[in-house]
Amino acid sequence: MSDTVEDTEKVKKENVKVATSSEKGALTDEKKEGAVSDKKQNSTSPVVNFAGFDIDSKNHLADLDSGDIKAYKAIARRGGGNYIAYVSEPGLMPRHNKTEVYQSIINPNLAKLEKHGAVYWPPAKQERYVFIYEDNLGKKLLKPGEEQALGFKNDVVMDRILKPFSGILQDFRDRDFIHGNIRATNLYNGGSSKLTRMVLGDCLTAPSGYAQSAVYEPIERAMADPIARGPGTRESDMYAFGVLLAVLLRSTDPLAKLSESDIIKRKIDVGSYVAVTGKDRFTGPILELLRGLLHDDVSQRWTIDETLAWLDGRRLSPKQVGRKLVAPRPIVFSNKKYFQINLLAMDFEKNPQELKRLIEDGEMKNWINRAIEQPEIYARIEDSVSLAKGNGQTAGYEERLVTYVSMAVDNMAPIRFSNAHFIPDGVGSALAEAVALKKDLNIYAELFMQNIVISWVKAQTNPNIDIGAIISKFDNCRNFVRQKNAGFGLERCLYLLNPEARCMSDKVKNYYVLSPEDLMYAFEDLTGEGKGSGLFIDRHIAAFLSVKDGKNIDQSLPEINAIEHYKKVQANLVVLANIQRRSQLPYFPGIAKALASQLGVVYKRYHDRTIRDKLKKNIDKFAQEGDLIKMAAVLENPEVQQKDFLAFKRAMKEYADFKAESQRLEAGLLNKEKFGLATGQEIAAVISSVLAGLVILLVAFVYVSEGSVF
Amino acid sequence: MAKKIKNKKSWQGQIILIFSVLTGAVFLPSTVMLMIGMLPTPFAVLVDRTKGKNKVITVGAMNLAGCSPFLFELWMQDHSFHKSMEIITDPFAIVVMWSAAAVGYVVNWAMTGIVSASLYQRGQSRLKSIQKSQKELVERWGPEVSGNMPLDPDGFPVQHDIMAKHGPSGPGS
Repeated sequence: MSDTVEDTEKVKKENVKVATSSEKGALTDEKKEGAVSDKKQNSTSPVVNFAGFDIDSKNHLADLDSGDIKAYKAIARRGGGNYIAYVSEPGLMPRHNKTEVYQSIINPNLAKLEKHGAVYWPPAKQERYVFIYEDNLGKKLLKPGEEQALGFKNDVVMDRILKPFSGILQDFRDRDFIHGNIRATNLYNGGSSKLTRMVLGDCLTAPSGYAQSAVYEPIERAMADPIARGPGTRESDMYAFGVLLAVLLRSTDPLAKLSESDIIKRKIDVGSYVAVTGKDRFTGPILELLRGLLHDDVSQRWTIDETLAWLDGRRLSPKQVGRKLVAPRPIVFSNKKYFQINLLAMDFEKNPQELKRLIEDGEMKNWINRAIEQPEIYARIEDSVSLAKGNGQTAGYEERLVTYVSMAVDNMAPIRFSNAHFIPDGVGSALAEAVALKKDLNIYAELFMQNIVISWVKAQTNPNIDIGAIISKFDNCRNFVRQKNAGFGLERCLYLLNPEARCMSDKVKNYYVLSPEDLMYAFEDLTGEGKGSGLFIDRHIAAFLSVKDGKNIDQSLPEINAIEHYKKVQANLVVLANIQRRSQLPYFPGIAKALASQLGVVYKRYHDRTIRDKLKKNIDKFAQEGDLIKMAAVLENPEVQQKDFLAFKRAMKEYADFKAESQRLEAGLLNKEKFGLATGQEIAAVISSVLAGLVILLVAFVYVSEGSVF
Repeated sequence: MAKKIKNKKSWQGQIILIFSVLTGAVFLPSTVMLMIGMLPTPFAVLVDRTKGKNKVITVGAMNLAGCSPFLFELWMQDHSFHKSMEIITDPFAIVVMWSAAAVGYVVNWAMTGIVSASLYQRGQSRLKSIQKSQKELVERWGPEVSGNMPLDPDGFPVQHDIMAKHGPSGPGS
């Protein structure tokens, strides 16, 4: 099954190839017009054809929506059959890098992904990433907003859910895949009210954990913003699975009507198991399973192996949750009493000034040392305060205090910074959303510049965190943010931290660009629409190309950032030619002509007008064909430039010589009467001398021969 | 040094002068005749203010040619003071000798006019040719080839770079 991202590229390439000339692959004018008119037709028709499927953009299947991602009806062109098309949202980067692994998992209880890729989406008038699933899901067991309790019997859950889904989780483990979207509202009845085949729905259309409520996420992930939870872990999937089982089994929802924040606090307060099961009393083996899966200590949480062992009949007893730090007397923060330091840490950001006062008054110190009796925690707080102070209580000190003290108090919690909550692996998704939705990006620049993630990593005690990788990534980001040039900055951080992010340049905002090749097709389409004037590579595109394939652009970054316009134009050509060559792409006459029209400034870097004319003639010829590689090669000839320069120097000298001679002549010609006088007199003297000599000789001859002239 | 050279020259001049005086004394009849017959030449020396004294050469040479028949006559018949006086008192001889000098003036005038006019024409056509070549150089290499404007190290007008900074915005923008 060729259902990867390459499918989309192939389709695009085919479209271009269809419109290419038989010999050289250039888009002819007639065919190009045809391609454009097809696009216009697509843009007005509500039905979108994508990879053999007709997606009806007017037929929204609201019951099948996956969180914020909307579902639409799709029909296979060959053989019919119903399908669901999930259409991505601009701020949510789909997990297209995981589609190959997902499709390799063949399981009837898992929604079957048929095709995926970018397609022009008429309602948005831009390209969107689309996932087409087979529509054999049936109905959702629970709709969003309904009470999250189904009260199923143990044996039903065991047979219809636990056993088949353990197989799925085993497959996930074997293929190192994280679902990140396991919840009752993403569970379908498979089309039968008898629940004979339950199906787990989509997990690829949005970042992992984005659509999950705090109920389904472990405490530390639940505390993070949904967009910034990161890709998740097998443990978080097992936890969600445990919550799912509890929701199916329980008869009432103890967390109904609670806000996300209150759910987290409830879990911290009483533990996840008690918070999720509430007043329902489970007995026997299922109790062990739920306790194991909902264990708040990640290291003690049951894995799929332990779950399978449990299914095989081995009875394991989950360890008890460690002693919570509950103070015998409360501390008052913002007029509210707190007995647990983790709960207090959650609310620091609500009143940073109060936190500052508690620390400066010594109230916090007394409470931690005497009530909590954990002086080492206060030692960490003191370190955090000095870290937050840095060079003094400068602007943003209170915000930094919240961030660093939170880390010191609850090192498992996500980074709390400027009212945002990130798990480091989720910063990329959050940044992508912020860029796509044009939110304030200063928070991210500050996050990288102040090395906050590194401080968070240093505070971690969880051995499963890949500290080296995180430090390396965020160190790079810090360096990139310091550099203001194109190819660096926050844009570079975005594509480094989020490999699934599309290119977010405004130039290609209506295209779904995931690779340098996509970028070329987008540019070709743009130039076909007459929007191809000016330079192609902007900050986003430079950063995007540098991350996706640095060999295309890294050597040209100095020229792209040069002040001189001619350098930028030539660098644009070189980079696009590199992509064409390295990816063996067909010709792009649209891009080539748009670039050729701007190359005047580059020709002007040759002194000799005849060379300029020759270059222009050759470039125009290659531009008609769309051969960027040859265009770049024509201009990348330092030997010609050197010869041109030397010839120019000679010409300058020649001109100067002419000028001097001309000045001399002009000065002489001004006095016409004297011009050539000396020369004339010299010649007269010579002639006169010769004549006189002849006369004297003649006279002498006459006298010698005794004759007389007179 | 210059003084020494001057002294050396004056010393040579003195030798020549002494030699000339002695020769003139020895050949006194010829000297007397030439002094009268060659009178237009010293006059030309006074009139000619050019550096090379070419007019003097022109007139002098022709004047000498005009004197030569009478000089030979003096030498061949009777190299005496009496014969010398006879020649110089003959108006025909004087007319011939001085007319020859006049021919020298005519040669000088004619040749100077012809050559000067010719050189002036050549100068003008050369000027046109230079202007044409300069125009061709400008056409091929641009006005910067004249060196009349400030250039960057690559030889391009400095202003050119400043203008080149302002490029249009890109596609899709």
